[in-house]
Amino acid sequence: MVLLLSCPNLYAAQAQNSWQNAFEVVARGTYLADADSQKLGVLYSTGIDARKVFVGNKRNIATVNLQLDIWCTDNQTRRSPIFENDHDCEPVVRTAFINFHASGDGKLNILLGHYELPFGLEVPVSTAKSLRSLLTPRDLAMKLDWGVGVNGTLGEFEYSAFLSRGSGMEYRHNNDPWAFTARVGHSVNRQRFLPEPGLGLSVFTGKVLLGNGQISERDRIALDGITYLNRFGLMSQFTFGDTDGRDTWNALVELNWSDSLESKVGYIQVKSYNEDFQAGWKRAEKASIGVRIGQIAGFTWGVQYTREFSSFNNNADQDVIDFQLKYRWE
Amino acid sequence: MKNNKHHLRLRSFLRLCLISLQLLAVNVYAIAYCAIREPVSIIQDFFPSYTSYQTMEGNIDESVRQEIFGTLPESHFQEIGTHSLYVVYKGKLLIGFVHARTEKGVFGLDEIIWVMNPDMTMRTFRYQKNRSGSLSQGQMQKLATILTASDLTDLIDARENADLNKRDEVIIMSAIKALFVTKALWPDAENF
Repeated sequence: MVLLLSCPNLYAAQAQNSWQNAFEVVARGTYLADADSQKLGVLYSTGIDARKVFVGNKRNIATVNLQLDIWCTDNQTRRSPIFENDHDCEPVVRTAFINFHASGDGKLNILLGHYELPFGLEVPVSTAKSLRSLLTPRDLAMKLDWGVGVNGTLGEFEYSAFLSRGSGMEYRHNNDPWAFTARVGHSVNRQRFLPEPGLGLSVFTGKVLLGNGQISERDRIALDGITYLNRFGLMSQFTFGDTDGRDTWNALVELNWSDSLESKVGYIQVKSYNEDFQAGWKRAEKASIGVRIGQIAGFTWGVQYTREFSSFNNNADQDVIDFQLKYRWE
Repeated sequence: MKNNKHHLRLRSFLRLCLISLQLLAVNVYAIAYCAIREPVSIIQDFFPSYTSYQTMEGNIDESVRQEIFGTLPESHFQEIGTHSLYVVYKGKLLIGFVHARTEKGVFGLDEIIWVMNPDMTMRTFRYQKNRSGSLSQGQMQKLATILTASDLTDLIDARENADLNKRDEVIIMSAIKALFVTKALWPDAENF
């Protein structure tokens, strides 16, 4: 009854579709145990995350998403190519897109802007600003790109196709890169660290502009899946294709565990990258164990240990320890 | 010159950090807004003759939050913040509402999609993500009897008087919160 009586008092809280805004601050450290120098590097980032759904005439018209950051690197050996030197700060447009609800019933939307490529587990799984990574950055040499696409939901399945510039984080046209990405999979209601179970099939083809200015021709087809058994979750993705004329296959298998609020999540991941070079097949493997804790409102922290068993350049094994603290205010 | 540029950007970064840290935290591990999709699959399934839907977004502020925690102490901090209501139409006619709720499940978070009638009574629900195990047919029938065409009063009454196991109670509580939050944020929803 108390609940019923209190209801009228809440009318003051009613809201229109205004902009939804959030601020994030993230500090991430990486320790390369086997490096000769610059063992510890840190990446700081802060930014705003904004969203608005424009409505009218009893239907959605368009959804706008903006994620604008400032990233600062400090002594990172493995830093993003957007940085000019070891100690640098750069403005970053993470996502900036408008999704026009063309049909009004969710079956056909037209998207324009800087968007996460609809490929593999990146569609259901949220990896943004977390230590956990999937296969997409290695498979496609980028995770986000500038372009135009269509998406929608048809029954139990959702689809997305995206034609893009092929230059990744920054819009660049040197050597005329391009990319096409598409995925069909079980529909999801929201991207999560531990998302809804389902399957997905993705394709990618394109000439991608790499950080060093060179073009890489890539074709991929990927199958991904997520399932749960009690406290455990199993995620996997298998990718087959071609990288600059070399046959390629990559795989990811992850076993995770969570508490009932999913505020404590632990995971073990194995990734295998394989390419058929002139001298024969080469394999690079990584195994990670990590934990993500989010029990205090607004704060999330994570730690991850990775063993890199080998690489295509025949470097020695490497131990990498990552740690991260994130604060988000909405 | 390069150093000046670096210092200027670092100063901007620190300023943004300070602004952010001065603000009160409300959400834990909240996901980025671009991660939010719409339960179109559910809308298509339960409203096969629909022609369009409209997303309404509302924020629960501190006073509302305190009232929810005061009256529903079992609530958890993921339930506060931004909420979405999907208003479903056939032409110009409002034919129902859809609202998604995240609940603490047995082995992880459950996501329950609530389907409501145009008069803001409950119609049915579906698990979009279920980490608590499947419901038996008997349980589903029992819940359907309680939920179908129930308003907030009926649900609160059922919670207090019906013979519910722990799982049933979580689902009924979720239904109460769905109606409570929807009525609080969009009191005129029936006239949309």
